[in-house]
Amino acid sequence: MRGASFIWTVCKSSFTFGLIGLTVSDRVASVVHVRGLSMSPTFNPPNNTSFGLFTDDHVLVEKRCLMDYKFSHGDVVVFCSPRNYKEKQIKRITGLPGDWINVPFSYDAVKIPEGHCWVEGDNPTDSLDSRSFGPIPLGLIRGRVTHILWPPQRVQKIDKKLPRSGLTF
Amino acid sequence: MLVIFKHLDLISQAHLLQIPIFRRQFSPAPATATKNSVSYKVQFAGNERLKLQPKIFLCINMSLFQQWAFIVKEALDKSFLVAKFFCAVHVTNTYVCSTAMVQGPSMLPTFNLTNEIVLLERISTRNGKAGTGDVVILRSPENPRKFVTKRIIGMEGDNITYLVDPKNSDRTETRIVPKGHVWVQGDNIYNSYDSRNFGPVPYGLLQGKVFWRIWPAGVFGSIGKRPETVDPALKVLEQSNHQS
Repeated sequence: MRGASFIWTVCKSSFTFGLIGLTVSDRVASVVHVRGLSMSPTFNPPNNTSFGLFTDDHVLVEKRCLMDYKFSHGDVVVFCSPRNYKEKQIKRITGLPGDWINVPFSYDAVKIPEGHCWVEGDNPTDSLDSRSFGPIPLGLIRGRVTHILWPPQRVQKIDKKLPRSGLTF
Repeated sequence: MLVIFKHLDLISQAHLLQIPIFRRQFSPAPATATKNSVSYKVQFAGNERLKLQPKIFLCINMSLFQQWAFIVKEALDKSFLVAKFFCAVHVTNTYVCSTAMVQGPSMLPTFNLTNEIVLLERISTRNGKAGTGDVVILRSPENPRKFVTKRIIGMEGDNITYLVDPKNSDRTETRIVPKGHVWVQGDNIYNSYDSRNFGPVPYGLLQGKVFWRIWPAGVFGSIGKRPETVDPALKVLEQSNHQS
């Protein structure tokens, strides 16, 4: 009898903490594991040879910005890939509605439509981003990356880096 | 504590006092009752069993700090309960189902012009089960703060033929829906701002599938299929979409 009540208590409290945790991670902030080299100088720097759960970067993603969807140039955001909604990607916003973007490796200039943004990885050689799938709707954005949390020697705030090129007004 | 002081003369009815903080502490029936006094066994926060009798202020035994600690603890418990409730509401709303209000002319035969309240379930859009013919609510690709209600006409890889400007001309266009996108259109194609204007939308923008109408009471029920169009040319178009 005592065992049953103990299990019941454990179930109840874990359920409660699950609810609270989900709410906090949806509304306030959550921690995300960064995989891949597409944001290389910023996350997962190339001198890091081994990849795995413990050596990859973990970053803090704040969700308060989803209240009003106001972003600025240089914000690093997490968004659902427009090609596969189950996949999340981390990229840097380099263009906002109304901007003209010079598409790299070609001579086109693209005007970003209303409610969209242009995202690029910091590592242009190894990144699947707006250069291949075009501007993405702001509604796909799931949060803004503010801090690196995990490798303890690299805990820091993410600064809004101005895009290298491609931005003209 | 004040409550007890105030009601000490009524303490014989104390078990009837519907004061939430204390209801739990009073045993349901008087422990002992004599002609002049009724005594209750009361368990305070300090876990000391006390006898509460009329005209005897047992609360004096608790120091002011203990009283405040007791009240603060109760307040914290209550606010935690409220927080838990809001968390449960949030999780149900984002992961299971929620309500939404639809209005406007774009879904006209299905939804009326005036406000209607519908239920939308979020499981199928999360798992990718929402398919052709479902009415969905999605974030507008042009304004992320706005939501629109449309019907899915085609999934990725489908060939969609549509009338560009059905009011004025019969000009049609055919497009292939790219990978990971859906084609959405309002049921009232004559007055709807949809994929014909902003192109296919990524699946990640879908918020939920509308499956039940709850208000106004007269139209309570499930959402049907897309109403048949009377325009013969449109019918041919729709059938060709359906086959592809």
